[in-house]
Amino acid sequence: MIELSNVSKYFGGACALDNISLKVPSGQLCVLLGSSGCGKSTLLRLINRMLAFDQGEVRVNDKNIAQYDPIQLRRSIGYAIQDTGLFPHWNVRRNIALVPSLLGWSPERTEQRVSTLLDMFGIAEHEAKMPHQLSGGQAQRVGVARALAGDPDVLLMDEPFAALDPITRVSLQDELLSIQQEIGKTIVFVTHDIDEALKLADQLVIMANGCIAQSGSPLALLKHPDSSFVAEFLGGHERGLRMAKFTSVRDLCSQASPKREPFITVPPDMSVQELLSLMLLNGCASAQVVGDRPYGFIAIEDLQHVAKC
Amino acid sequence: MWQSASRLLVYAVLLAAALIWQPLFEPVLSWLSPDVRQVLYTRDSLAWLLWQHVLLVGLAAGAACMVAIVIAIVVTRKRLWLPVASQVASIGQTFPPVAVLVLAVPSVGFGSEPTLIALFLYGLLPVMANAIAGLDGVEPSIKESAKAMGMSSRQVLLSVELPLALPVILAGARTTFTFAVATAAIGSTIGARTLGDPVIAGLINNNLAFVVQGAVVIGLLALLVDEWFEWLLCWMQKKGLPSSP
Repeated sequence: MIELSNVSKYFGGACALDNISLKVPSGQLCVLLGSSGCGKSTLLRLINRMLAFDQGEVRVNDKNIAQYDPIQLRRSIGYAIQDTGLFPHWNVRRNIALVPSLLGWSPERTEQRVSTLLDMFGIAEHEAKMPHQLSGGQAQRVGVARALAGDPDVLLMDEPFAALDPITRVSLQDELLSIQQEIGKTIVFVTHDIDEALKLADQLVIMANGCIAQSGSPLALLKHPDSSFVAEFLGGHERGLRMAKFTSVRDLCSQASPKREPFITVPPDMSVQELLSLMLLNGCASAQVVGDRPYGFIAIEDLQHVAKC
Repeated sequence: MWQSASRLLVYAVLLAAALIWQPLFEPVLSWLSPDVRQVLYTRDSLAWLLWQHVLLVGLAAGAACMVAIVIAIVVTRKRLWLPVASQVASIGQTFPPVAVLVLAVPSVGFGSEPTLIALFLYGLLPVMANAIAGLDGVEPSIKESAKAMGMSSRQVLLSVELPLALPVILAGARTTFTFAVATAAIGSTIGARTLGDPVIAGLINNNLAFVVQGAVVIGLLALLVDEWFEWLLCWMQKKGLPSSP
């Protein structure tokens, strides 16, 4: 668990973080979202004491971080960054083994842990390669594997996927989600990509000018933005389309057969956003939902219920 | 790597040949200086002069490298003096080595000591300039993540910064050692015993044969030292260490 209470940070005279309070429960993935310069990376770097703060208190696992030795604290917190920061003169295996060796694990335990992570991220075949021989996606997988190597409770990620091409980015997001299901770490994830934030977050924190503009579940923020800033930030008029991504057609379909032909056939776990896109593409207003059994039908009028789901 | 190793071997064989079969070259040397009575330099054996030369260069350049790296480490941490150190390192290299040699004489007198001091001072600068550039050139994100992973400053320096800066530092050491081999010869003018002895003796007595004997051995030694660094860099690349940026 990570808990920040009334934390402020100044750079010179300028206020970088203004009286921030935030609680990330154990096992939750908290995304800090904001445009550049809003203080999200600064906030992240306070947690492992890469930066000192001026006021307030930060607690990790119910212990004030001021009471930790900074080096011990950092070894117990995973850290992944956009540039990966892999050591270019070490091969993949040795890079991942960094924190275990700093923690003084036995060689057998380290070996075993590294092998587990190599398999988990599907990079076992690259274990002997040097970082410059890896593609961007592979290097970032190694970066995240390295961050997890010491089996930390807490993982900090600073725009880890920002430099990747869209396809690789999406597949790494999917991998992170499925790995998180398995390992249940407390993760703080910084990004400026709204779709990435909505996809990954259990708890979404929108920041602006060193303050928290609003925090909550992605769907709650999309439905009930506190301010016009948050509404604009989450896409303005396109917020509805982002919201439609959180609803699957299964939840909206009914048994009544459509009044109109033609219709398309879609699987029940398709998101309403995709359905809408298909309707636009095919020029039709209704669809039949078919999975392992027929679920029923969905027409364009039914989409008005998305906001109530 | 094999190309470098084979060149290294050729230079070593040539150097050994020049020392061991020095008398065999007498006809060639006589043809160079037909007017002089003695063409073979025999006041000291070339092997002994080579040994003295290598000792002088090794001591001075070796100490210079170590001190320069320590200074570079200090100024890249306590950054207050970094600009001064880089400026001194760059300006110092425009100073001709002979001038350093001559300036050392009044303070310690003639002999090997002023040569040693001059070689040391002159050798500091290329290594220092390169070590500062190398240590400062390590990608900030790499240092940042090393620290964030929980490495102490000492661990970051020893396991990350120095290994990554090593190729650049070695390039500086290469300059220092090669220059020292050449400059040490001038030490003979102020009383050091080096491979410069035959060259100086030849110049004074107008004996081209003496000059050639000294110059050839110095030249081969310089080539050998330079090639050894080349080989070392190739070897490091093969071991997967990063090449110079």
